[in-house]
Amino acid sequence: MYLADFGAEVIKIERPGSGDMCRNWPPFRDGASLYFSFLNRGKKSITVNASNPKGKELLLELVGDADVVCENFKAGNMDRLGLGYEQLRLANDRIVYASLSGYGANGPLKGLPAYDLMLQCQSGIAHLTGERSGIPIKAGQAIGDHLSGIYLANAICLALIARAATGQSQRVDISILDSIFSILGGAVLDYSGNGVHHKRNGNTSPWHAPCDVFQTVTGFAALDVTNELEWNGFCQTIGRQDLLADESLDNSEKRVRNYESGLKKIIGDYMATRSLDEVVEAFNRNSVPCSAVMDAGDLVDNPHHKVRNTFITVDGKATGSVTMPGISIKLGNAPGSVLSGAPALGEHNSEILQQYGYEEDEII
Amino acid sequence: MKPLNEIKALDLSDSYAGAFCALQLSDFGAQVIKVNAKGREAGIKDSMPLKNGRSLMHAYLNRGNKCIEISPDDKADIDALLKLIGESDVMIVGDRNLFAGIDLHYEAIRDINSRIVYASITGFGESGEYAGRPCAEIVAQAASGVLGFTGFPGDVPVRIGVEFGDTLAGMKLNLGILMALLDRSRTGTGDRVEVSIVDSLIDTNELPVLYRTGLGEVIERAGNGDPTITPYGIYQTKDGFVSIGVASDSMWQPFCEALGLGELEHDPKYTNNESRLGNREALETAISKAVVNATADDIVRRMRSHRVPAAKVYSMEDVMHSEQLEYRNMYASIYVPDLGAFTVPNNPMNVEGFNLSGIYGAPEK
Repeated sequence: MYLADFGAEVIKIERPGSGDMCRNWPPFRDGASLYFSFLNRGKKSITVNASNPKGKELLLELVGDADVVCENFKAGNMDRLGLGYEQLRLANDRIVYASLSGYGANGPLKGLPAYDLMLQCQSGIAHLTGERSGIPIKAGQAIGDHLSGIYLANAICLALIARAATGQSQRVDISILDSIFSILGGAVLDYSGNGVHHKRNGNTSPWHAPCDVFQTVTGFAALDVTNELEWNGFCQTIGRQDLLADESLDNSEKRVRNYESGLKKIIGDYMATRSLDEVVEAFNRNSVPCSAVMDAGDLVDNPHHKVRNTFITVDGKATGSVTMPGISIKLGNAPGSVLSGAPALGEHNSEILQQYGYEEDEII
Repeated sequence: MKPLNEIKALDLSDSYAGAFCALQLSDFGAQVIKVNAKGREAGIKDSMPLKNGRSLMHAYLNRGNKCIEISPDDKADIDALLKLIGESDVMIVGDRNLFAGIDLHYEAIRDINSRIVYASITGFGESGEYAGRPCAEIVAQAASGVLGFTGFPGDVPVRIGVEFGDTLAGMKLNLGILMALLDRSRTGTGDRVEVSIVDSLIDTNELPVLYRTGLGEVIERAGNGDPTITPYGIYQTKDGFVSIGVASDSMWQPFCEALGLGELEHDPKYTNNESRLGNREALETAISKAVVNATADDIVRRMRSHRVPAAKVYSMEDVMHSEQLEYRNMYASIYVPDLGAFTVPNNPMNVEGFNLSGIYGAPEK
């Protein structure tokens, strides 16, 4: 999607009949997946049976003209189809061959089936998310898919930059497990540097306090005080300058230690009698990070996001017009754009087959 | 040779997201100089966790980078900075107020160096009414809808327990920079890249957005379940937690066999996902009963032998001793004088010919 947003011609190769699995993922409108329409905006779709010799021939011709091939099969599947890296290099010695899978192209777990949930569990992030005494919680978002996708797009650009210098084909291998592990930062540092084993701890932070979510009269607010300047602003905001002189709260470490026993209730009481708008405004005025806990409805009609085009509306063949998250990477001279909606299954068969001189019934 | 060997980058952001982006550039060969404002407290240099009073976070995020300090009111310092800007290919900027007195707006920078890729990273973005609002990880997760969609319905929503927004936004900024560099090799001119942490997170929360915009429906956070698939979740065993997912009907029978739930296997109340969703509660109870007296490892073994996706919930101890991560060279090490060597996550981007050794040096003064 990133490549398509920024101008690449992306041709999706789908299985005849059923197509990409993601076409069956909810939500649906008029029988078509809105989820698919988001992830596949701006792309073309052709249906090809890779086990059919003519179909494979067409794929190799397409590879010959392509810069990048992305694949997400279990490790080894593409080789079995005769479409592995070594084989595609013969068709195009400048190809960037990019693989993405749950565990990567090697290692004891390669090829094992897994979903985002399993990978969140094995990467440590589930252990770090949830209430201290409660069950581990998975992020409500498919964070492994999103992180590995952005790493894949970055790695493809690096490979394209390298190719411009060397003229050589390049292989990229990204695993979802590696991708999630790579963002564990502080928890890994504390483990290896200080022997501290982190565990989930609700909405609080192991390193600074107060950091939490509070109930206001009109909804939840998230608040974070990460340094002494913000601590100062925080005390001003709630009218408790006396806390600045309290030696049990005069650095982050002490505030973390003494949060549950005192600070938490002070803030809870302050929040409980005020509206969301009021507290967010008051804390922000004193440069203290604070926001409403938003939901999708708060966001799509939000004037701030209207100005930033955070959401865009795209017309899809199968779905009609859909409002979806837009292009969050904003470039000045070469901005991204979405010129068409997601393709219907095989929508571009005739266009591409004609271009390469194939008949539709030869390749399915 | 690495792909970015010719690239010189400045990081003036002094933020996690900006530094995470700069880390990608330096891992792939760019020469990165971290520019600090003199006298600033609470930057990456003082960022937790600490060891012997020194920031491990700084050692990690700025591994191998050169670090300099600039006094925003010292003429010689300003001239030195402007000279660096003139020689650089990339510059990462966060809160421009850190360098109050120096004009760091894109328009001014472009006049100094028309080939520079100027990358702006902020919490809420440079436009819109929230521009300039103070931000932090939990606040970005809240403002993007990510936090509100994580946790169990009826409970207080919960944050993702890592710096997801900072790292994701850092990667998006880096992608913008790489695309602008690719574009520059054709046009000869630089560009401006702008990324906000909140926008970056909103992209990952597509499900509730699409339900809302496409169907006018509000869907709630669903704990560890998936509102559309069952069984799919995290279960308590005798000695820990496991996740199991039956994402297609063809996995239902192997799943029942693996757990010894033969009595459910052919029961029409459960044979397809739609019927299972209708009888979710009874099914969840049956599964919980079937796993609670077994060990987590035993459940995972049984599931895997039936090709049903399952995994143990790894603790930090487990995560730091994963054979798979070890095989993939994901445990990198950093040597810091006086502090010794410690483990940090390696870069997960495997690009043939540029595989990273995983041994890094400390930041240089």
